[in-house]
Amino acid sequence: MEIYNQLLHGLIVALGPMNIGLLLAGCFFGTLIGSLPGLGPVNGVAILIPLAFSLGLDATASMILLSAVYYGCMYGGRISSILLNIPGDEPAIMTTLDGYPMTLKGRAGEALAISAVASFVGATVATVGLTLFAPLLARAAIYFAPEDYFALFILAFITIGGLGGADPRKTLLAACIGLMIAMVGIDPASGVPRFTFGWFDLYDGINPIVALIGLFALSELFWLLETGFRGSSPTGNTSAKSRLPSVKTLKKTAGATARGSALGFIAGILPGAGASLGAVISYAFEKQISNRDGTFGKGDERGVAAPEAGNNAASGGALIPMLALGVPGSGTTAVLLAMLISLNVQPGPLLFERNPDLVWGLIASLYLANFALLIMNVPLVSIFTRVLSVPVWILLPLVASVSFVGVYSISHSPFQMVTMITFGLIGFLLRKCEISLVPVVLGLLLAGDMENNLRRALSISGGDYEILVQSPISLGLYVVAALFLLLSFVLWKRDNGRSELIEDSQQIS
Amino acid sequence: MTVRALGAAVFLIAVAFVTIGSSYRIEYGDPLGPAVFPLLVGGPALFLSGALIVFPKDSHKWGTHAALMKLLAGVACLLIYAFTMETVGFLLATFAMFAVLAWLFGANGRNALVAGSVAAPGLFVLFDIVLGLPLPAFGEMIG
Repeated sequence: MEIYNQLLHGLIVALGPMNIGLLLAGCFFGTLIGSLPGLGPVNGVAILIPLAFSLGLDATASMILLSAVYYGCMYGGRISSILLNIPGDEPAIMTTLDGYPMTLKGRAGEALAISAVASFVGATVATVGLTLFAPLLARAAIYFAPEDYFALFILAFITIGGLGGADPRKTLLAACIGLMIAMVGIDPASGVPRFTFGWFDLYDGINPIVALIGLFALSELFWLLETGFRGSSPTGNTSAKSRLPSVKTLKKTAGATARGSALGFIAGILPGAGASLGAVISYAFEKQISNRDGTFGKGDERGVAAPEAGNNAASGGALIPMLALGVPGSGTTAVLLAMLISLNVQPGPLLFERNPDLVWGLIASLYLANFALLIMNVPLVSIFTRVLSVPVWILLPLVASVSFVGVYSISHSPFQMVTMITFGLIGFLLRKCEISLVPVVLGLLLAGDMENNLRRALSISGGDYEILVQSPISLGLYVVAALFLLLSFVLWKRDNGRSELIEDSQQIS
Repeated sequence: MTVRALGAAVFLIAVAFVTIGSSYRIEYGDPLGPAVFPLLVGGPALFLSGALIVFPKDSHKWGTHAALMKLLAGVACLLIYAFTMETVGFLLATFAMFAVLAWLFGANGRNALVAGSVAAPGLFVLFDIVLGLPLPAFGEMIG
């Protein structure tokens, strides 16, 4: 009943004329960004943040806008996967496996419709999960003392690499790099300028938003310059019209959609997994149980429904730890966290008490966004398929321009623009070495909070470090972290060299 | 090789980081102090980057010479843009940056110039006039 009232309250916030407008715009641009190859939820949301700031949107409105973009991207990613065999973003890689063969058989319209419905179901399941579990988790997290938070941050850094078989040394080093970068600037507690080399521009520290745009948007641009754009000029059929899926197909894919939603949601909540893993797990699982006639990979509807349900459910699930604990589980939620912190909103258990408008307004708008996206992506999908014929030589200079305008509008400083380019290069080099960027961002964002909690814990104990391992909560978290670390090394050793797909897909999302 | 080089670079940075970090002192108050956390972070960084130097593992290949030149040109183009945007103005700088990048991404000369000359005023109208984010249209050269 309480949830019902809060949701109703949220709906009133979400239905304000301004918020509903932002929501629809976010859904539209999100689908657009998602469908463009090379642009996905992480870089799409990152380059839009400064614009939300400059437009003077408050935290609730910004969050509604960018979460709608986030959800929209997850829908849009499938369009170019299905039509062109080029994933619009990383989580949509799995959708190419059966989506593109359907297009080759002349069933593109059906594939688009099935995947839109699966996306809708996945995202709705995740949003319901968010409504039910996020407040519970937030309530439990109230009991966390500073030393427990410190342990939670350690756990987050250890689990962020996930269990995809990526080199754990690289993920952990990435987190350390992010934490080191975050140390630059004046230490808020002691007033000592750290690692500034007397350079006044560095006294404020590195602006995480500027760093994010460099890491995600510009590194992608550098990456494409250096590797050459694969599958450059789209030659496929981009004029497919979507149809409403028939009841028969819906029945056939219902099981795949349901299983994909559930698995994706779980993958989303786990820190470090995110949407790509949600899609991978859902597809692999569905193939295991449904591929009796060997139709998977040749245009099976269930092979389209499962990963789409999975990645949309995962993206909703990933919002839970971000909102309830302030510890994001994926790249895009880390970017959203950066935005909230920049607007002086600290996510975590207290957010639900202090800022119910934001939490419940956001949750209610996610329900609305889902309906809007279903309409945009079934009857109106041809609007987005046309965009696919935009050549890369327009798209990427446009991405660069919007990144620069964004950074300039929040800083009015060439120094910050150069910082952004520097981070673009750092991101590019790290990706060249197969080092994921998500832990870097997480380190950059969480360092301040992590140091602060350590400081508070030591103030309570009067400088005695034993306090860190005295509470049962923190001990439990350390045990889980240690087990996870062990497991990720074991899996890495076992998977060494296997499945480049997963490693690739983890680089950005 | 790339991983080993990057590991070495991060290792050197981490050495400097730990050395500088451990020098921070305050006399009173804070039980943590400004040096502990940098050491907590720098220590693992030293260890992990060291591990990457000793046991590197990479599979990614670098692009061709031509592709690397493109990358360098792209970086140079963006740097010049960042430094000159306020002086020469948004319109001119964006036109040049857009055209050069479009050309680097494979547009022919004419298309690149057209794209730049449409995009620069288009973006200006969108961001400055419609969305109200002030941009220096002509920079310090005029007005």
